[in-house]
Amino acid sequence: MTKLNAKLLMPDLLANCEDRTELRYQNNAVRRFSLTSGQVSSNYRSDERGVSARVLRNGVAGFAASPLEDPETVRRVLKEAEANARIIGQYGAAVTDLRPSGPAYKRELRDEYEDLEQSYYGEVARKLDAYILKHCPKIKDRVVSIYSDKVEKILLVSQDCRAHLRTPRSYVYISLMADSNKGDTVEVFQAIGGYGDLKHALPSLESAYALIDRLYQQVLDKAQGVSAKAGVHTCILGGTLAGMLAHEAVGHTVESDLVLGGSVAAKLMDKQVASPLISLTDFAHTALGQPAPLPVYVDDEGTPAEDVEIIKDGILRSYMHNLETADHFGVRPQGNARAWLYSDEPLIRMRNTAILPGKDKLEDMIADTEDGYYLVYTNNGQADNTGEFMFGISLAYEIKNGKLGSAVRDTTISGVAFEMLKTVDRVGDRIAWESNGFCGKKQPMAVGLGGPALRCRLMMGGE
Amino acid sequence: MRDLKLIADNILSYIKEQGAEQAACKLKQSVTSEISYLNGKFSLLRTLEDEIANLEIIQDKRYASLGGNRLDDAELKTLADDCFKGLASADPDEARRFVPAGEAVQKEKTSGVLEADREAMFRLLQEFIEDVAKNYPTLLISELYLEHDYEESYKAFSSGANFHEINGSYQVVLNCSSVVGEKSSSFFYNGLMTEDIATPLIEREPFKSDLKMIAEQYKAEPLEKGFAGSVVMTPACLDDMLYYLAANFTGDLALLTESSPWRDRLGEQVVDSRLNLRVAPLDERFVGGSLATSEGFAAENYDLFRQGKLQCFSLSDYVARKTGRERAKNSEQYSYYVLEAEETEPLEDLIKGIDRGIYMMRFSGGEPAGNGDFAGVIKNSFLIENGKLTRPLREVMLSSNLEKLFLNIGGYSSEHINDGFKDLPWVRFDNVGISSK
Repeated sequence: MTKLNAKLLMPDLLANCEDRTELRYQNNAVRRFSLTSGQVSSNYRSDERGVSARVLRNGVAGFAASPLEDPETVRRVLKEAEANARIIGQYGAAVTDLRPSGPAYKRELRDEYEDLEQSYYGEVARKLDAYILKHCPKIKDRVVSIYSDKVEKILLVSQDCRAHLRTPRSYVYISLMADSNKGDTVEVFQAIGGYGDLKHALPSLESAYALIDRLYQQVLDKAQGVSAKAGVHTCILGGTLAGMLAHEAVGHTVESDLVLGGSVAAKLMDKQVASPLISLTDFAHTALGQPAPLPVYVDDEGTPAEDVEIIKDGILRSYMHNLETADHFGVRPQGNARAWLYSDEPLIRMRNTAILPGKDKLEDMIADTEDGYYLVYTNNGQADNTGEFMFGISLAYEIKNGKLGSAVRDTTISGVAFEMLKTVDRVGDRIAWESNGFCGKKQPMAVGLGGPALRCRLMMGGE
Repeated sequence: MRDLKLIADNILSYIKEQGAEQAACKLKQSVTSEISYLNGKFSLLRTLEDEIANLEIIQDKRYASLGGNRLDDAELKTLADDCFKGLASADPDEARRFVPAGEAVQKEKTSGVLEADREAMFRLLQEFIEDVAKNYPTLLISELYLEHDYEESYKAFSSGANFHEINGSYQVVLNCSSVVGEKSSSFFYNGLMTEDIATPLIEREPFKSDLKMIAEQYKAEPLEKGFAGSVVMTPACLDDMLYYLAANFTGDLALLTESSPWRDRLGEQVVDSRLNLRVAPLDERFVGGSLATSEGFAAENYDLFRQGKLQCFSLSDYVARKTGRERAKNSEQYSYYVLEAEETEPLEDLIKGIDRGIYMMRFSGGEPAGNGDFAGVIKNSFLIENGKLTRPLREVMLSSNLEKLFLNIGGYSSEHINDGFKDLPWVRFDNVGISSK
C-alpha cells in the first residue's frame, strides 16, 4: 500500500511565506476489476501521488506540482508557485488580500482503511457473476465491475490549517443485458456501495444479490418495453434522479464561478426558484443526522466545511464559493474549493447535494397519477448555465390510472430547472443517495447526490 | 529528465527474471505550463511536472496491469511485484498477448514545439481577449485556458518492440456564452491543438466560425412546434455523433457482448455511400497521435468507412482475438477522424436546400442505447427556414437512431475544420425528428 509520509509537510515550511500558501501532498489510488461475459476484462491498480503548492497574491495565484516526495522538491515547488504568482500578477491583479477568518483548523486521520489485495476484488466479482448465472437465466450478457478509489491528502495552509484526510469509496456495478421484443439488446445498470474500502462499503453480498434480483426483473421488463412518447408529461422522479437534478440542474448554476460566468442564477438570489415544497442543501459531512456519503471536513483552501443551504422553501438563498468568490460576494466561504489530483488546482465543487425529503409516500404519488411516467434510473446528466438540464433515463415505467404499466426503453428528459421545480407538487418522505460517479468540470470529482421522489412536469424525448 | 529507455529496459529485464512470459512497460514524463483566464482576468499560472508508469504482465496466460507515477528503480520494482500479485485474480485467457517478435518494430519520433514560449502565450491570449471584446461585445468568456505540454513517452514490449516519442504542443480551450442584460445563452465550449501560437486565434477555426454564432445566442427562444426536417451539424457536434456511432456499433464492448447491430455486417454499406471516414492519428495535419497500439503493434491510419461500407471494427487486439475478428490498426479508435466525402458543396448551398431545419453546434444527450436510439437537447442552435438561418433556439430536443441518422445524410460541406485532432466538414442529416417544449 502506498502511504503518505506524514513528516514530509511540516508547518515550518510555510513560516516565512508572506502570501496565503497552500501545500498539498496527495495520493489518488484506484482499484478496478471487471468481468465481461464472465471473463476478466479489467484487472488494474494505480496510485498517483505528489506534492503541489498554490500561492495566492493580490487576487491571482501561482501553482506548481511535482510527483517527487522529498523535502528539496517541496521547497522547489513552493518557490516555483511563488514565482508563478509573481508572473501572473503582471497580467492581472486585484486589490484582494484573501486572509483566513476563524481559528486554525486541525484534523488527523480517524477511520480505519484496508487497501485490499486485488484477489479480494476478483473473489467478490466472481461470486456475483456466479449468482447472476444461476439466478438470471434469461439474460443475454452481463458485466460485473468493482471499483474503488481513495483520495488521501495532507494539507497545510499558511498558519491556519493542518489536516490529514482520507476519503475512500467502493462500488460494485452490475450491468445486465437482454434481447428485446424489437430484436435488439436492452441493458439496465446500477451500482451499490459507498464510503470506505470494499469490505466496509459492502460488508456482505446480500444487498448486491438483492440488487441483481431487482435488475433482472427490470431488464426483462425493459426487453418488453415501449418507447416513450415525446412531449411534456407528469413524471415521478425516483430519489437518485432527484439527486441528479439537485446536482446538475441546480447545483452547477449556483457554483459562483459559473454565476460570474453568466449563469441564470446570477439574477435569482432571494427569488422564488422552486415550489415551496423544495429545499436543497449541499451537505459537508453530515446530512439529516447521518454521515454524508462522501464527507468533506475541510476544503483544499483550508476552509472548514459547513453545509450550504442553497434553496429554502423554494427561495434561492446561497451560492457555493471559494475564498475569492466569497470575498467578491461579501459572504463567508463554506468549504467548496476542492481539487481532484495533487496536480489540480482547487475549483468550486459540490460535496453532497440533496433535495430534502417531504411527507408523501411514493406509492401514494403513483396512485394519484392518472397518466405519466415513473423514472427510475439515470445513466448520466448534463447541465447548462441557463438552468436547462438533460438526463438519460435508462429505466422508466408508464403510469396509467394510478398503476405502473409497461417499462419504457431508453429516453431522455430535459427542462429548465427553475421552471420545472415550480411544477413540483409532491415530495417523497425518504431520501436516496448515490456517490459512485464523477462530476465533470475542468477536473473530475467524486460527489454525493441525493433526493426523495418528486412529482413534476418534464419534457421527454421519444416517438 | 530521466532516461526512459534505460529505465524501461531495466524493469523489463526484472519482470522477465521474475517469470513473466510477456510484458509491457509504458513510461511517460511531462512538463505542462498552463495559463488560466477566468471571468475577466488572468487568474492562475500553473506549472506541472509528472511521471507515469504503466506495467502490464502476462504469465500463464493471466493478465494484470498496474499504474503509478514514479520512475525510480525501487518504486518500479515494487510496482512490478504488485502487478505479479494481481495475476492471481485473473483467469487464463488465450486471447491476451502483446505484439509477437515477428511483428515487433522500433520507432521514434520527435515533433512539435518542445519548449513553452510563455510570453507568446500571454500575448496570444491577451490579443484574443481584446479581439473578442471588440468584435463580439455580447460574448462573455468564462474560461480560457492555454497550455503547453511537453511529453516524452517510451513504450517497450518484451518481444523487442519499442516506441520513443517526444512531442510538444499547445492546447487552447474556450468556454463562453453570450449575455445581454438579463438574457444569457447556453454555455459553449470548443478548442484547438496547435503548434502555432503566432496566428491570432480569432482568425482561426473553430473560433472564426463559432464566435459569430454564439454572439447571437442570447436571443434564443423556444421552438413553437416540433417538426421533421433537416439538421446541419457543425464539425465539433458531428465529432460527438461519430464517437457514439463508432463506440456503439464497432467498439470493444459492443462486439465482445455481441450486442452491436453491425456485428455481422463487415464489408456492407452501413452509412451513407458518400461517406469516407479515416481514423488517422499519424496524419501530418494532426498533433500527438501515437506510434503504437496499446498492445505494441506499429500504429497505422485506417479506414472505418469507405463509400459507406464498414471496413473494420474499432477493436483492440484482445477483443479481436476473443471474437475472431481483425484488430483496428491503431488504438485511437474514437478520435483523429478525417471525413472526406465523395461529393461536397459549399455550406451556404447545403443550408439553402433546407425548407425547415436546425443548425446545430452542440448536443447534450445521454449515452445512446445499444441499438443506436438516442435523444437529447440541441444546444447553441438556429432555426433554418427557407434556406436561411433565421433565429437562435433553446429547449429543442432531438430524437433519432444513430444508424438511421447516418443513412439519411443530405450532404457534406466543402468547408472543413482541422482543430489539431480531427478534420471534419459540416454535415446535413435529413428526416430528423425535432420536438419542442
